[in-house]
Amino acid sequence: MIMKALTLEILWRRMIALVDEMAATLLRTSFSTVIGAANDFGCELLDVHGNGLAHATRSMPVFNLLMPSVCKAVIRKYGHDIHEGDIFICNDPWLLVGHTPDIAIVLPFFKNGVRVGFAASIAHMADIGGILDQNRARESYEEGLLIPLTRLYDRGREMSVVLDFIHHNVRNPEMVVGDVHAQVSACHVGAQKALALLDEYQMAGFSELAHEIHGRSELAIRAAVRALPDGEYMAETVFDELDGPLVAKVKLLVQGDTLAVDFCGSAPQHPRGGINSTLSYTTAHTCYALKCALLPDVPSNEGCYAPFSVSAPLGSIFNCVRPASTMNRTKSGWYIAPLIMMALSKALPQQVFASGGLMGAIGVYGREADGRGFNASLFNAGGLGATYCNDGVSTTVFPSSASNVPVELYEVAAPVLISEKELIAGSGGAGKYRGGLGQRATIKRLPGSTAHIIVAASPHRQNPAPEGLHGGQAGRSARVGLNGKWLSRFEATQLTGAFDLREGDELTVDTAGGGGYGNPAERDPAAVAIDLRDGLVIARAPSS
Amino acid sequence: MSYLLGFDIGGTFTDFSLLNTATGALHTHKRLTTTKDPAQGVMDGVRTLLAQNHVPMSALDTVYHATTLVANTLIERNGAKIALLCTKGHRDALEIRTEQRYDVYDLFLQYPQPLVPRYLRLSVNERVDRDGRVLVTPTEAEIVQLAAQLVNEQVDAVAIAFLHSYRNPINEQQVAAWLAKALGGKCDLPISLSSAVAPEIREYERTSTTVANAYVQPKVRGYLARLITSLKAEGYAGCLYLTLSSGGNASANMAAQYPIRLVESGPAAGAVAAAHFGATAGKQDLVAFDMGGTTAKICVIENGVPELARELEVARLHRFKKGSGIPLQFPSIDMIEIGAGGGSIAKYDLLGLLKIGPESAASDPGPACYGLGGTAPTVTDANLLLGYLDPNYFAGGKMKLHPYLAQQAFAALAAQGGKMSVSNDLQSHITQLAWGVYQLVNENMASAAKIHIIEKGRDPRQYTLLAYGGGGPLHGTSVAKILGANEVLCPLGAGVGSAIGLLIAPMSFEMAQSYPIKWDSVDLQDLNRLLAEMAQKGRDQLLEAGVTGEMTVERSADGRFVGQLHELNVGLPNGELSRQTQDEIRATFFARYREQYGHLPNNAGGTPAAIEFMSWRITVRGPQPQVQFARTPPLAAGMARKGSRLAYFGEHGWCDTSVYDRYALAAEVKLVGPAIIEERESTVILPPNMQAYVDGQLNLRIKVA
Repeated sequence: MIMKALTLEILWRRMIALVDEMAATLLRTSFSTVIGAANDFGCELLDVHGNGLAHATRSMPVFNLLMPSVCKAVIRKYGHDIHEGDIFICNDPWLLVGHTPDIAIVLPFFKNGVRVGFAASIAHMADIGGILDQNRARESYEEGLLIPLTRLYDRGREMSVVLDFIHHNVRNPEMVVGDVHAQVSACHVGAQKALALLDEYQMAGFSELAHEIHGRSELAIRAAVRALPDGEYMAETVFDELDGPLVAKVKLLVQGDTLAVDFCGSAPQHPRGGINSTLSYTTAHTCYALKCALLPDVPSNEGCYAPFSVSAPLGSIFNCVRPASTMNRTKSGWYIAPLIMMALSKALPQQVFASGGLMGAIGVYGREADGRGFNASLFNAGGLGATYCNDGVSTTVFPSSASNVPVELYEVAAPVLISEKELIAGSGGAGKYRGGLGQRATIKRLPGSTAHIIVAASPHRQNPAPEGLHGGQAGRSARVGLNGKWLSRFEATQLTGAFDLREGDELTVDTAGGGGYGNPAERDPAAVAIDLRDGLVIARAPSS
Repeated sequence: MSYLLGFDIGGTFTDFSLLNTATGALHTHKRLTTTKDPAQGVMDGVRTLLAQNHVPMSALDTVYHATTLVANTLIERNGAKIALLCTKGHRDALEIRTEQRYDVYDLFLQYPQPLVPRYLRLSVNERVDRDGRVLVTPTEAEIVQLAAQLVNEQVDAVAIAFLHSYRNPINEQQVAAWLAKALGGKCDLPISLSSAVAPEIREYERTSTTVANAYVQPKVRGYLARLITSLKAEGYAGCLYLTLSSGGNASANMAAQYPIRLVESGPAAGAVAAAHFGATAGKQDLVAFDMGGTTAKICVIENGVPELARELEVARLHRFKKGSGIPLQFPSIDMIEIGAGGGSIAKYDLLGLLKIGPESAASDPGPACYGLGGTAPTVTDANLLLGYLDPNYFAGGKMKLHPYLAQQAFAALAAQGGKMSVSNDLQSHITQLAWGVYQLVNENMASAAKIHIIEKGRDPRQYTLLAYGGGGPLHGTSVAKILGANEVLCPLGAGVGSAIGLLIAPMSFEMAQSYPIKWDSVDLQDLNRLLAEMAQKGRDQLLEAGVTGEMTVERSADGRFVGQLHELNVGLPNGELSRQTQDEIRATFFARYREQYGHLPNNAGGTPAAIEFMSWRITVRGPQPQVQFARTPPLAAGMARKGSRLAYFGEHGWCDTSVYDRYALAAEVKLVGPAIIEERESTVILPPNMQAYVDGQLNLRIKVA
């Protein structure tokens, strides 16, 4: 028994190290800021049935959670027609991460001619074609190339037609095709090392290891669910990122060691602007938030999600049907984690945090004077929500696990200046513990550049502001400014979806601050004094 | 007669080495570190060591030093009150960080507070663009105002970090000059420029390094001045050199200018010593394995040189979570630190899995068997229960170990395991558990080492494991076996390895400069000028430090395919770069890339894509010190076997195991496992089926089976 636990611990750790190697390969060989600097990808090793065994430590949790579905889809579709040397590709939003730029690469690997597992990665491409102003897309047909689940390699032979299709349908073909190759390299690295691991431990396959990893993790998560009193936990919010207010509603039903999540009562899918989540995307965000609250310390794998079931009405904004537009699905999907935190906040006040400021991206696309294309995204995080014991961390990405792109790298990648990237005083929600601060980023043309520059602002949390918890106040909303004037939410979506950045133009995106936790009156005066000294909050004249 | 003196101030102990350069006789000494004023303990120790060996202070030729002062200042956060001048609009780069969570499931994660609080981060109206063009020139009037503010706030040091200053430092330099002038010599305020401390692209990491430099600078300056004064007062007339994180030595002056580079001073000296020990055995490729009380450090040595990393992270909030600390950008010996030491605590986690560390009982309260109040079961307790340690000869007999306390701690662990203790035979269960702990900690270290080695694109089976530090020789054979390494090398007296390494390290200076160049259209004249300037700067540094003799210059560059965001480092040939070397460098890059990632990204036409180089690196080294250590002849060979005791070895069970005195083992002696070889600072475990022999340098060489 001791030896078994020991071997398991070692093998499990090795698996995680191995997927981290996959991630390092992808990161270091990619061509886009979105993968190479911002970490917008996932890597995973899966067992022969497509159940996740281990995923890269810091890669996108939501991506990782969807790799089992794509591997299972490969098994469903190809059955016995899966061979050594095959590699599959897909970006179907209804199967995967909810929008077309996220491409999955799946590599089945074999030991002595028998399939023993999959190495898979999903990565966000810098471009996938389609309309530049994503706010104007009405259906998925306007959102670029859709790659159905298909072979990219057939028994070792590259299906060049697939790459040709991609090459001719995206704006930065070298960058995108280079990144697909980087994914393939990463999967090869994963498969090779996984096979070496099997050899080293003289194992025929991963089934026993999978059984142990999944079984133990499932026991732990079921215990955590059982610790929750049976009953319903609900939360709702009204959000407005595009054309007006939309309802988002969640109900958690806990019965024994099972937890069912339903989004009944949420708004119908939206006819434009890509703000719809597919059910796969909704499910992944739901499971991720539940794991963070219930079982943060166990390395993620299939077993951690066994007690959860997720449903949303067909045709709703959380379960949209084809051909709904989905490019900006984060504008609904990123409300899921905060909703779940709110729903659990009474039962688990010490395991959740207040709503956070999400992220606001500034994308630039165009050609340098020398004809070289550029395409770069600046990810600007809002502040995290506060917890029962700490202030929210400022400018930190959640529920995505992306990182920013350094200003200097961004300016090298495109002929622009980030004239400002600083914390916004007073943006964190007040509370016994204050919400984290959002930031202001302002972009303008590099003086003297003759490049044609198209810029897109993509704010989140324009409305509502990130909610506080247990008496904490909301953080400040995100907003967009153009040439010194703050835009209304409507103006922002009309003007800044994709516009030409001309000489003298200045586009500003403020990301939202996190919500506070607990009654602001109970805040430690010393913490208040430091906030004032550092200009993190704005002193208010005592009201008479 | 002339002597070299080295001392390494560690967290618990300060180690000393004294070398007679004429005879090669090496004397060592160890004493407790005086944490409040480390210089005091140093001076006491120096006096003791010199007196013991009848060496007058005036006979010291050179003094070398490694210290944890910088690392501790960052960990304990007791550095200077400093200010940071930044580009207007960017004063929060330090607090905005990378914006990434280092643990994606932890809603409660925290980050280190910036070393300079927001109210002391001051904006300057200036701007340089990506090509180094000055868009906004700062004004003296603004700097004069800022100077007044700094005086008012009574800061002790200043950091300046402007955007793109790696490309053009003029604004930083101008502001520093105006600042110095405005302060008018009223106070000797050290100013750290990012373009001098870490001139590389990525504003967060560069600013972080510069700020850390300023933060530790006043303290290091004061400490070094006091130390030099004390040494002089006792009659020492030579120079003081310090070991940098890169493993090179530098003058006290340079250390005071770039004190942040001292952050891994001690461990770097240890790695240098490891490379030296390896060389004595004719081994160029080594995995240096240093296991202490709290952590183990692993470093790859190739071609006799410890590998360097371009950046490191210190003062982590979670020691083993990358991203939870302060990033620093300068060359540093590439080591991984694992939470596995003698004090590491064993426990069952919520999944019922046995875990070791990273929590450590450290020296206070220490492992249970120390009898100092610790009750947690540790790796040292396991080693004692398995018969590997002699309770009466720990630290050469200076410290008594208590087996029954280790028993108690492991009985409690067995109970924690719950259903696992159904066996009536508690004693046998405790043995199994201790064996499990021993194996698991070895697995932990080996798997971390393996990842570290594999990440470098190397095969761990090609290396000899060099085991040093208190715990290295205890665990080395087992770690080597898991790694697939075929030999373990245990040098004599490796317990004070770092202090010995100090004497061996050459003087050196490393520099990096970001300067992006598209390789197909490189202006070679321009590049040759840049490289020559960098080399000259390095030479000047060493000349100033008193280096005589031939200096060597080593150059490399960080390249990538155009459009990528990460680089691979490739060496550059010596001399002027020409059209021919341009092609050679491209070919070298392709080869390195293929080796690392399997295949090259191609253009549509199938030709490899274009490459670019982003940063240029130069190391200037002084001559390698010609140090010879004479080995004390062993005691009479007949005294080698001290006796025997029972020791446990997994499937072999309890074995009657011979115990040998390391100091009595002469060259050519052969040993067959199971055996235990004891010296004052460490114990070598030779498991059944393994064989060892003593080589001409008195290294114990173990063939792993």
